[in-house]
Amino acid sequence: MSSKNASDPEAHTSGAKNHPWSLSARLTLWFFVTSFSLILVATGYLYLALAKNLDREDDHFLTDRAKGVLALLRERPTDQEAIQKQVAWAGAAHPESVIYLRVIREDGRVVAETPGMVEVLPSSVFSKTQADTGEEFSGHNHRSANARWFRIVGVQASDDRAGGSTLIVQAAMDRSHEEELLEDYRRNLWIVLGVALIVCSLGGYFLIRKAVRPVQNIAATASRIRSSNLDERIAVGTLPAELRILADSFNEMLDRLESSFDRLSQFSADIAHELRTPLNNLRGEAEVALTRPRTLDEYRDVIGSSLEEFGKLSRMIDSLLFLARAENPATQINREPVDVAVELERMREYFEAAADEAGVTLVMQGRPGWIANVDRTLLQRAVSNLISNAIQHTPAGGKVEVLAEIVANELVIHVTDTGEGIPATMLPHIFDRLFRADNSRSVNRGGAGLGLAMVKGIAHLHGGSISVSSEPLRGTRFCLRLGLE
Amino acid sequence: MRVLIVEDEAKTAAYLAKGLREHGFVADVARDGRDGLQMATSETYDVAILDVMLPGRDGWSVLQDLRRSGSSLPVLFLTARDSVPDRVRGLELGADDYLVKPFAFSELLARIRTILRRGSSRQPEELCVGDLDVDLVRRKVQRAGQKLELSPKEFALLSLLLRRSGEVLSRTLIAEQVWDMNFDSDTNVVDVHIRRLRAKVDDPFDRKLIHTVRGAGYVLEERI
Repeated sequence: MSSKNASDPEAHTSGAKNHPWSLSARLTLWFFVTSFSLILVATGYLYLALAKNLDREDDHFLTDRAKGVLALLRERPTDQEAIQKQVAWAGAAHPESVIYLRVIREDGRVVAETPGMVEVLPSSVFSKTQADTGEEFSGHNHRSANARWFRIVGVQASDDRAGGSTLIVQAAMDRSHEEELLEDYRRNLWIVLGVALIVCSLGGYFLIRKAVRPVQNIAATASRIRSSNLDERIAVGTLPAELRILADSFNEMLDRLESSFDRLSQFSADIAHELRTPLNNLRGEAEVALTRPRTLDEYRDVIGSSLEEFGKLSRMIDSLLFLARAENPATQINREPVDVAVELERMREYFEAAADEAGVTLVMQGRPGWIANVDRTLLQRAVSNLISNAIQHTPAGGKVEVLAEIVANELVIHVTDTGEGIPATMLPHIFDRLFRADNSRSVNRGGAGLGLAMVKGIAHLHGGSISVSSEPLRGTRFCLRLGLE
Repeated sequence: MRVLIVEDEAKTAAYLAKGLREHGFVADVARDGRDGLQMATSETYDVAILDVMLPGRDGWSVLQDLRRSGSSLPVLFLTARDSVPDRVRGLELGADDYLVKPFAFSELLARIRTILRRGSSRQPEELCVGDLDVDLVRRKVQRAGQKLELSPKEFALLSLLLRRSGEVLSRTLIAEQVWDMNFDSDTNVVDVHIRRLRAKVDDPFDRKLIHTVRGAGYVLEERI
């Protein structure tokens, strides 16, 4: 958002085709248009009302005078002298706003006229005449030859006693004074509008700029944040309520990012550490082997040992790749109808020997004929990981029980052992990658701490979940849920 | 048996060729897809090992053109990418098998032999190595004239080792073939099964037949 653009609306009108207007430019324009039109309408209305009012007063006055003449004509149509007097007297009574009156016949002959009227307002300017209906007459404005303004009205007197011909009364009133007043008013209006133009545009611009500044501050903070200062947050305190929501959600996003980032860096460090151990073994063994000539068997032994380490590395990379894929929502799995009981029996046969050697009883329970639509290899992998984990952590004489059931479109597999249990503080972390309950690496019971993370990944790929409950010294119970779609 | 190796990575190509030659194959190496396709169509091979990521043209397009030209040469794909769509694509194009890098050489050998064995499906009724006799039809096992009692899975494990006698079988392959467990497992479950089989087949006798190949797997053979 550039403040330079906002200050220059001209540049925007020309560039509007290519770029959407900036928010502050738009708001400024709207503020300007709205407030300025409001002022324009208000002042215009006041001016028109004033002009109308003056017109009405003039009309009222003219009507009054014209009706006086009409009444005289009606009552004493033949009294020339009285009419003359009435007409001549009209002007003298009001020296400031001069009144002119004229009575003519239909054929244009003047019956009586205010002196001097013929020079200023000849009979021809009263082009329209109206009937005397008893209502107030409505005149119109006329500019005379000597550049003065008049309100004029022509009235037809329906009088048949005046020799059978119609008389017309023409009345006019000098209103130059009022016109001056109006002109003065108009001049003032232009000044007011000019000031309003400046105040509305500048005021609008500064007002909007002030309102938009917090947004710019948020943007500035956002653009400042790098992986090195992920702990920085937007100061929420002074923000208006609407922006506080934005800033809050932004800060929450930063919280999540920071914690993912921390996990990720922790994870990278863990991977490096995990890779270091087998690599160190490989290197050390190879170096020691080469320090002096050895027998064929010794060489063979070193190479064999290397192969074991390579195998570990390969499996670890495979598992990490698998986990990375499991987190990608686009990853597809290969669902097929799987007979759960058959699969469990297969796993029982596979693990029977190992369980037997560990002195652990392995029990499988699943109703025959239950078909679940899951990825068979992933199911094997998940349940195998849980079983081998359970066998490892159960002392001789214990029992590992696997129970499968289908509940509401989910394949639910419980793996329960009577082992040593998991401390409550560790429970939330056991599904994390590379997490090991016992931190001592000397007691390596196999697996790189990825087994349970993979179970979680497999559950995730099936739209399911994994949960665990444990009681120290009593045993642990895993509950794997796989969605059947 | 002639094998064509199409692989651009020099070290990989070299050890594949060396390993296969030492196991009685005649191995030729092509260093890119264009050469590989040319060699595969102009000469006669029994099986081709095809890397997916090749300079010039990738393994998929080589396989596609190979099949288009009417060749039914068995092809085993090597790939560093093992996402399901990649696998499916390879198999749809007519690959016979695939292996994900890094792989065990013994695994590659076993899979090549499996591919070559296809078609000749005649199963022998009886197998014997040294003084061990296995009747595959009646499911009876004898050693030095002495009858051995094996569980069904022990029998399946023994007959796998016997059928592939002399071949090193990885734990993964054994789990896959005997228990139909199709994943690479970290656990020592297969070792326990082998230990139990040994207790019955080898322990009572002086000459051992089942041998551990460190870092690779197990092999059943008569060693002098």
